[in-house]
Amino acid sequence: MELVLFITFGLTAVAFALLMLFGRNPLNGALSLIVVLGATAALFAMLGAWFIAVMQIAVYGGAIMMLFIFVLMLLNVKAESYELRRLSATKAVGVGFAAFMGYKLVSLMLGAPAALTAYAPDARFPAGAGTVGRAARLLFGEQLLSFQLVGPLLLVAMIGAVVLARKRF
Amino acid sequence: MVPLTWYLALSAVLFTLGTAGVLLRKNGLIVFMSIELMLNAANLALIAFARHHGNDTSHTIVLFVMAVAAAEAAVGLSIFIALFRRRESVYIDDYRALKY
Repeated sequence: MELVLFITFGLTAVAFALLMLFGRNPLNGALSLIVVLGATAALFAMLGAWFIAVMQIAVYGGAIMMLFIFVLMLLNVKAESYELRRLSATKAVGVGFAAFMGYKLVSLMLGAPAALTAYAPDARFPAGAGTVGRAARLLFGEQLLSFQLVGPLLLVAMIGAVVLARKRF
Repeated sequence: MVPLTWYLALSAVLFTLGTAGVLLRKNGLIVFMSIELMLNAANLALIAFARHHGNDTSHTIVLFVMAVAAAEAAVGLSIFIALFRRRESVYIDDYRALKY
């Protein structure tokens, strides 16, 4: 059953990522990326990270991609007319490099010895692993410094976004 | 039970597709979306390894990665808007010169 779910969500993610890559309309690309994010959130839930799965849909799909779509609307980006139709040397180099890197990465991942990639038994997980309560204990306990630093990071990003998008920059 | 290597291979495939998007596409916004795809692939690898080690500290690390991605998207898109005001184009081919 888990195998069926993994193949479904994995193929969905890869298929819509390819759609985003080769699509001509950037708005369709953004919507395809939202589907990819949803499929990845499902994979997170399968791996036991339920809190992160919901956060993925809420933050990534709900906020970041909305930002993208708003900017697409603001800049009035239309469907491509000339892109991806010309075959050039640089494009061939790009495809070659990406294919080589992909082959190396995937073969590295799939070739790991079985003893090295066994799952930890359920007893090893801390109590409530993957839930909101456990994430809260981590955020306010072990990783308090990182959590507090995210606040100024977001503040600086907000100030930067407002300053950069002003009319008389 | 799906082996860990399959999750990692899926993460590698998504990362490669994101890299191909960054290298091959000329629309700056699609390049940006491919970067988000790469970040997502890295998140998938992090969560898979959390399951492998029996330690869910990387769940919060993934949360921080998402926060950084959000901040990066906000600032990057406002840079795009500022650039677009000058040149009326989002294609990265039109931004060859370092000065105007």
